[in-house]
Amino acid sequence: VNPDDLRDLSLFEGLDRSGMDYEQVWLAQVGLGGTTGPVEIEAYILGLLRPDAYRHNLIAQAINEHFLDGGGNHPVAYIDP
Amino acid sequence: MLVDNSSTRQWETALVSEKRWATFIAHLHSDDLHRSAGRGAGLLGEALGLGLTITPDSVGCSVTEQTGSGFVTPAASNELALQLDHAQYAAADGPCVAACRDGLTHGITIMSDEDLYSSFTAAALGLGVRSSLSLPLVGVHRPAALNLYAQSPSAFESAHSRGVAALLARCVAALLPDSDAVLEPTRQVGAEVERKHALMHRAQRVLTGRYDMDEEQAFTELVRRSRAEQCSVFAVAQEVMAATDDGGEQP
Repeated sequence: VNPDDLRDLSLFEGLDRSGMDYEQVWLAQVGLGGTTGPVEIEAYILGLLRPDAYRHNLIAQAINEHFLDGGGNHPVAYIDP
Repeated sequence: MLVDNSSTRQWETALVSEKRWATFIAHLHSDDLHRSAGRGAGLLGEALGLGLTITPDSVGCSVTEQTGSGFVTPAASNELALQLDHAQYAAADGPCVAACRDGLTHGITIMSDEDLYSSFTAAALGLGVRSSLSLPLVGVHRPAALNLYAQSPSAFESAHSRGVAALLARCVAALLPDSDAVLEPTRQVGAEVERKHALMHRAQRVLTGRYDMDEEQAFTELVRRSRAEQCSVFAVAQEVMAATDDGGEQP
Protein backbone atom coordinates (compact mmCIF):
# COMPACT_ATOMS: atom_id res chain seq x y z
CA VAL A 1 0.00 0.00 0.00
CA ASN A 2 1.30 3.44 -0.94
CA PRO A 3 1.78 5.39 2.32
CA ASP A 4 0.01 8.35 0.70
CA ASP A 5 -3.11 6.19 0.19
CA LEU A 6 -3.55 5.70 3.93
CA ARG A 7 -5.80 8.23 5.60
CA ASP A 8 -8.40 8.64 8.33
CA LEU A 9 -7.21 5.54 10.17
CA SER A 10 -8.41 4.82 13.68
CA LEU A 11 -5.80 4.46 16.40
CA PHE A 12 -6.07 0.69 16.17
CA GLU A 13 -5.87 0.67 12.38
CA GLY A 14 -2.88 2.99 12.56
CA LEU A 15 -1.08 0.77 15.02
CA ASP A 16 -1.88 -2.30 12.93
CA ARG A 17 -0.60 -0.71 9.70
CA SER A 18 2.47 0.84 11.33
CA GLY A 19 3.87 -2.40 12.70
CA MET A 20 4.54 -0.63 16.02
CA ASP A 21 3.88 -2.39 19.29
CA TYR A 22 2.09 -0.82 22.25
CA GLU A 23 5.28 -0.06 24.14
CA GLN A 24 6.68 1.81 21.16
CA VAL A 25 3.55 3.95 21.04
CA TRP A 26 3.73 4.54 24.78
CA LEU A 27 7.36 5.65 24.51
CA ALA A 28 6.56 7.84 21.50
CA GLN A 29 3.76 9.63 23.35
CA VAL A 30 6.10 10.20 26.30
CA GLY A 31 8.47 11.87 23.84
CA LEU A 32 5.59 14.08 22.73
CA GLY A 33 4.93 15.15 26.30
CA GLY A 34 2.27 12.60 27.23
CA THR A 35 1.95 11.15 30.70
CA THR A 36 -0.61 8.43 30.02
CA GLY A 37 0.31 5.00 31.39
CA PRO A 38 1.01 2.01 29.17
CA VAL A 39 -2.11 0.05 30.10
CA GLU A 40 -4.31 3.05 29.38
CA ILE A 41 -2.55 3.64 26.04
CA GLU A 42 -3.32 0.07 25.06
CA ALA A 43 -6.94 0.38 26.21
CA TYR A 44 -7.39 3.63 24.26
CA ILE A 45 -5.96 2.09 21.09
CA LEU A 46 -8.15 -0.99 21.46
CA GLY A 47 -11.21 1.22 21.97
CA LEU A 48 -11.86 -0.14 25.47
CA LEU A 49 -11.53 3.36 26.92
CA ARG A 50 -12.39 6.60 25.16
CA PRO A 51 -9.61 9.21 25.35
CA ASP A 52 -10.34 12.92 25.36
CA ALA A 53 -9.26 14.84 22.26
CA TYR A 54 -5.85 15.76 23.67
CA ARG A 55 -4.92 12.18 24.61
CA HIS A 56 -6.32 10.83 21.35
CA ASN A 57 -4.24 13.33 19.38
CA LEU A 58 -1.10 12.52 21.38
CA ILE A 59 -1.46 8.85 20.47
CA ALA A 60 -2.39 9.70 16.86
CA GLN A 61 0.71 11.90 16.57
CA ALA A 62 2.89 9.19 18.16
CA ILE A 63 1.81 6.74 15.45
CA ASN A 64 1.87 9.35 12.70
CA GLU A 65 5.48 10.25 13.55
CA HIS A 66 6.33 6.63 12.72
CA PHE A 67 4.57 6.98 9.36
CA LEU A 68 6.32 10.31 8.70
CA ASP A 69 9.67 8.59 9.24
CA GLY A 70 8.65 6.12 6.51
CA GLY A 71 7.50 8.75 4.02
CA GLY A 72 3.83 8.76 5.01
CA ASN A 73 1.75 11.78 5.95
CA HIS A 74 -0.40 11.71 9.07
CA PRO A 75 -2.71 8.79 8.14
CA VAL A 76 -4.15 8.42 11.64
CA ALA A 77 -7.11 10.72 12.14
CA TYR A 78 -7.15 13.43 14.80
CA ILE A 79 -10.06 14.67 16.88
CA ASP A 80 -10.81 18.37 16.86
CA PRO A 81 -10.52 19.65 20.43
CA MET B 1 -43.48 4.75 13.28
CA LEU B 2 -40.98 1.92 13.76
CA VAL B 3 -38.07 2.70 16.03
CA ASP B 4 -34.81 0.79 15.61
CA ASN B 5 -33.46 0.32 19.11
CA SER B 6 -30.50 -1.84 18.10
CA SER B 7 -28.04 1.05 17.68
CA THR B 8 -29.15 2.50 21.02
CA ARG B 9 -28.61 -0.86 22.70
CA GLN B 10 -25.17 -1.19 21.09
CA TRP B 11 -24.26 2.30 22.32
CA GLU B 12 -25.47 1.47 25.83
CA THR B 13 -23.55 -1.81 25.81
CA ALA B 14 -20.37 -0.03 24.70
CA LEU B 15 -20.83 2.58 27.41
CA VAL B 16 -21.29 -0.04 30.12
CA SER B 17 -18.26 -1.95 28.85
CA GLU B 18 -16.14 1.22 28.82
CA LYS B 19 -17.14 2.00 32.41
CA ARG B 20 -16.24 -1.53 33.49
CA TRP B 21 -12.82 -1.31 31.82
CA ALA B 22 -12.19 2.15 33.29
CA THR B 23 -13.05 0.96 36.80
CA PHE B 24 -11.02 -2.22 36.38
CA ILE B 25 -7.89 -0.41 35.15
CA ALA B 26 -8.18 2.21 37.89
CA HIS B 27 -8.29 -0.56 40.51
CA LEU B 28 -5.33 -2.32 38.90
CA HIS B 29 -3.20 0.69 39.70
CA SER B 30 -4.24 0.94 43.32
CA ASP B 31 -1.34 0.55 45.73
CA ASP B 32 -2.93 -2.04 47.98
CA LEU B 33 -3.63 -4.52 45.19
CA HIS B 34 -0.98 -7.01 46.24
CA ARG B 35 -1.53 -6.51 49.97
CA SER B 36 -5.05 -7.84 49.94
CA ALA B 37 -5.85 -11.34 48.67
CA GLY B 38 -9.57 -10.63 48.75
CA ARG B 39 -9.17 -7.49 46.67
CA GLY B 40 -7.04 -9.35 44.12
CA ALA B 41 -9.62 -12.13 43.90
CA GLY B 42 -12.40 -9.60 43.38
CA LEU B 43 -10.50 -7.96 40.56
CA LEU B 44 -9.73 -11.34 39.03
CA GLY B 45 -13.45 -12.01 38.96
CA GLU B 46 -14.01 -8.68 37.24
CA ALA B 47 -11.28 -9.52 34.72
CA LEU B 48 -12.98 -12.80 33.85
CA GLY B 49 -16.25 -10.92 33.47
CA LEU B 50 -14.53 -8.58 31.01
CA GLY B 51 -13.39 -11.68 29.15
CA LEU B 52 -17.05 -12.29 28.35
CA THR B 53 -17.23 -8.95 26.52
CA ILE B 54 -14.41 -9.60 24.03
CA THR B 55 -16.78 -10.84 21.34
CA PRO B 56 -20.58 -10.50 21.12
CA ASP B 57 -21.07 -14.23 21.68
CA SER B 58 -18.36 -14.93 24.23
CA VAL B 59 -19.69 -17.47 26.72
CA GLY B 60 -16.81 -18.36 29.00
CA CYS B 61 -13.54 -17.20 30.47
CA SER B 62 -11.27 -19.01 32.91
CA VAL B 63 -7.75 -19.52 34.19
CA THR B 64 -5.94 -22.83 33.95
CA GLU B 65 -2.95 -23.65 36.17
CA GLN B 66 -0.66 -26.61 35.80
CA THR B 67 -0.06 -28.47 39.05
CA GLY B 68 2.62 -31.07 38.46
CA SER B 69 1.21 -33.35 35.81
CA GLY B 70 -2.36 -32.18 36.31
CA PHE B 71 -4.35 -29.01 35.71
CA VAL B 72 -6.81 -26.98 37.77
CA THR B 73 -9.09 -24.01 37.23
CA PRO B 74 -8.56 -21.54 40.08
CA ALA B 75 -11.04 -19.04 38.64
CA ALA B 76 -13.83 -19.18 36.06
CA SER B 77 -16.53 -16.81 34.89
CA ASN B 78 -19.23 -19.49 34.98
CA GLU B 79 -20.02 -23.21 35.07
CA LEU B 80 -19.72 -23.53 31.29
CA ALA B 81 -16.09 -22.37 31.31
CA LEU B 82 -15.38 -24.81 34.11
CA GLN B 83 -16.92 -27.68 32.12
CA LEU B 84 -14.89 -26.79 29.04
CA ASP B 85 -11.69 -26.64 31.07
CA HIS B 86 -12.38 -29.98 32.71
CA ALA B 87 -13.06 -31.61 29.33
CA GLN B 88 -9.51 -30.65 28.36
CA TYR B 89 -8.02 -31.83 31.64
CA ALA B 90 -9.76 -35.19 31.24
CA ALA B 91 -8.35 -35.56 27.74
CA ALA B 92 -4.95 -34.23 28.86
CA ASP B 93 -5.09 -32.13 25.72
CA GLY B 94 -6.74 -29.03 24.30
CA PRO B 95 -5.85 -25.35 23.83
CA CYS B 96 -5.55 -24.50 27.53
CA VAL B 97 -3.42 -27.56 28.28
CA ALA B 98 -1.22 -26.85 25.26
CA ALA B 99 -0.80 -23.17 26.22
CA CYS B 100 0.36 -24.19 29.70
CA ARG B 101 2.74 -26.78 28.31
CA ASP B 102 4.47 -24.78 25.58
CA GLY B 103 3.85 -21.17 26.63
CA LEU B 104 2.29 -20.29 23.27
CA THR B 105 -1.17 -19.00 22.31
CA HIS B 106 -3.51 -21.71 21.04
CA GLY B 107 -6.75 -20.86 19.30
CA ILE B 108 -9.07 -23.18 17.43
CA THR B 109 -12.26 -23.02 15.47
CA ILE B 110 -14.32 -26.09 16.22
CA MET B 111 -16.20 -27.36 13.18
CA SER B 112 -16.44 -31.05 13.98
CA ASP B 113 -15.50 -33.48 16.70
CA GLU B 114 -12.81 -34.85 14.40
CA ASP B 115 -10.80 -31.64 14.62
CA LEU B 116 -7.58 -31.27 16.58
CA TYR B 117 -8.14 -32.09 20.27
CA SER B 118 -11.04 -34.41 19.35
CA SER B 119 -12.05 -35.27 22.91
CA PHE B 120 -12.32 -31.62 23.84
CA THR B 121 -13.99 -30.53 20.60
CA ALA B 122 -16.69 -33.15 20.99
CA ALA B 123 -17.46 -31.79 24.45
CA ALA B 124 -17.32 -28.19 23.21
CA LEU B 125 -19.73 -28.87 20.35
CA GLY B 126 -22.09 -30.54 22.81
CA LEU B 127 -22.03 -27.33 24.87
CA GLY B 128 -22.55 -25.08 21.83
CA VAL B 129 -19.01 -23.71 21.74
CA ARG B 130 -17.20 -23.33 18.43
CA SER B 131 -14.22 -21.09 19.30
CA SER B 132 -11.56 -21.39 21.93
CA LEU B 133 -8.52 -19.25 22.62
CA SER B 134 -5.94 -19.86 25.33
CA LEU B 135 -3.13 -17.42 26.07
CA PRO B 136 -0.16 -18.25 28.30
CA LEU B 137 0.21 -16.11 31.43
CA VAL B 138 3.68 -14.63 31.79
CA GLY B 139 5.35 -13.89 35.12
CA VAL B 140 3.28 -16.31 37.21
CA HIS B 141 4.84 -18.96 39.45
CA ARG B 142 3.20 -21.98 37.77
CA PRO B 143 2.44 -22.50 34.06
CA ALA B 144 -0.98 -20.97 33.47
CA ALA B 145 -3.29 -19.78 30.71
CA LEU B 146 -6.26 -17.49 30.22
CA ASN B 147 -9.04 -19.29 28.35
CA LEU B 148 -11.76 -17.70 26.26
CA TYR B 149 -14.76 -19.48 24.74
CA ALA B 150 -17.35 -18.31 22.22
CA GLN B 151 -20.32 -19.75 20.39
CA SER B 152 -19.46 -18.74 16.82
CA PRO B 153 -16.63 -20.13 14.68
CA SER B 154 -13.51 -17.93 14.30
CA ALA B 155 -14.70 -15.63 17.11
CA PHE B 156 -11.14 -14.78 18.18
CA GLU B 157 -9.52 -14.51 14.76
CA SER B 158 -9.49 -10.71 14.42
CA ALA B 159 -6.44 -8.68 15.40
CA HIS B 160 -8.68 -6.61 17.66
CA SER B 161 -10.10 -9.50 19.68
CA ARG B 162 -6.60 -10.98 19.97
CA GLY B 163 -5.30 -7.62 21.16
CA VAL B 164 -7.96 -7.29 23.85
CA ALA B 165 -7.35 -10.89 24.92
CA ALA B 166 -3.61 -10.24 25.20
CA LEU B 167 -4.17 -7.16 27.38
CA LEU B 168 -6.58 -9.08 29.59
CA ALA B 169 -4.10 -11.97 29.91
CA ARG B 170 -1.41 -9.59 31.17
CA CYS B 171 -3.83 -8.09 33.68
CA VAL B 172 -4.93 -11.53 34.89
CA ALA B 173 -1.30 -12.62 35.27
CA ALA B 174 -0.66 -9.62 37.51
CA LEU B 175 -3.69 -10.51 39.65
CA LEU B 176 -2.81 -14.12 40.41
CA PRO B 177 -1.44 -14.79 43.92
CA ASP B 178 2.36 -14.64 44.24
CA SER B 179 2.62 -13.29 40.70
CA ASP B 180 5.76 -11.51 39.53
CA ALA B 181 3.95 -10.23 36.44
CA VAL B 182 4.19 -6.49 35.95
CA LEU B 183 2.03 -4.22 33.87
CA GLU B 184 4.71 -1.60 33.52
CA PRO B 185 6.71 -1.46 30.28
CA THR B 186 9.89 -3.49 29.98
CA ARG B 187 11.67 -0.77 28.03
CA GLN B 188 13.11 2.25 29.78
CA VAL B 189 12.60 5.82 28.65
CA GLY B 190 15.92 6.52 26.99
CA ALA B 191 17.87 9.71 26.43
CA GLU B 192 16.39 10.28 22.96
CA VAL B 193 12.82 10.16 24.30
CA GLU B 194 13.78 12.51 27.14
CA ARG B 195 15.36 14.91 24.64
CA LYS B 196 12.19 14.94 22.53
CA HIS B 197 10.03 15.37 25.64
CA ALA B 198 12.11 18.36 26.74
CA LEU B 199 11.99 19.90 23.25
CA MET B 200 8.21 19.62 23.09
CA HIS B 201 7.88 21.04 26.59
CA ARG B 202 10.06 24.04 25.75
CA ALA B 203 8.22 24.72 22.49
CA GLN B 204 4.85 24.52 24.26
CA ARG B 205 6.12 26.90 26.94
CA VAL B 206 7.12 29.37 24.23
CA LEU B 207 3.67 29.22 22.65
CA THR B 208 1.80 29.48 25.95
CA GLY B 209 3.97 32.40 26.98
CA ARG B 210 3.44 34.22 23.75
CA TYR B 211 -0.19 33.48 22.95
CA ASP B 212 -3.40 33.03 24.89
CA MET B 213 -3.30 29.23 25.06
CA ASP B 214 -2.65 26.45 27.55
CA GLU B 215 -0.21 23.56 27.06
CA GLU B 216 -2.78 21.27 25.43
CA GLN B 217 -3.71 24.04 23.00
CA ALA B 218 -0.01 24.61 22.33
CA PHE B 219 0.36 20.91 21.50
CA THR B 220 -2.63 21.17 19.17
CA GLU B 221 -1.00 24.14 17.46
CA LEU B 222 2.28 22.26 16.98
CA VAL B 223 0.36 19.31 15.50
CA ARG B 224 -1.61 21.66 13.24
CA ARG B 225 1.64 23.03 11.82
CA SER B 226 3.06 19.51 11.50
CA ARG B 227 0.06 18.51 9.37
CA ALA B 228 0.11 21.69 7.30
CA GLU B 229 3.83 21.41 6.60
CA GLN B 230 3.70 17.59 6.28
CA CYS B 231 6.63 17.22 8.62
CA SER B 232 7.48 15.87 12.04
CA VAL B 233 6.06 17.75 15.00
CA PHE B 234 9.56 17.73 16.45
CA ALA B 235 10.78 19.67 13.39
CA VAL B 236 8.02 22.20 14.09
CA ALA B 237 9.08 22.41 17.73
CA GLN B 238 12.67 23.00 16.59
CA GLU B 239 11.43 25.80 14.31
CA VAL B 240 9.56 27.39 17.19
CA MET B 241 12.67 27.30 19.36
CA ALA B 242 14.90 28.58 16.56
CA ALA B 243 12.51 31.44 15.87
CA THR B 244 12.43 32.21 19.57
CA ASP B 245 16.21 32.35 19.65
CA ASP B 246 15.95 34.90 16.85
CA GLY B 247 13.02 36.57 18.54
CA GLY B 248 10.96 35.92 15.42
CA GLU B 249 8.24 33.39 16.40
CA GLN B 250 5.06 34.37 14.61
CA PRO B 251 1.52 33.08 15.19
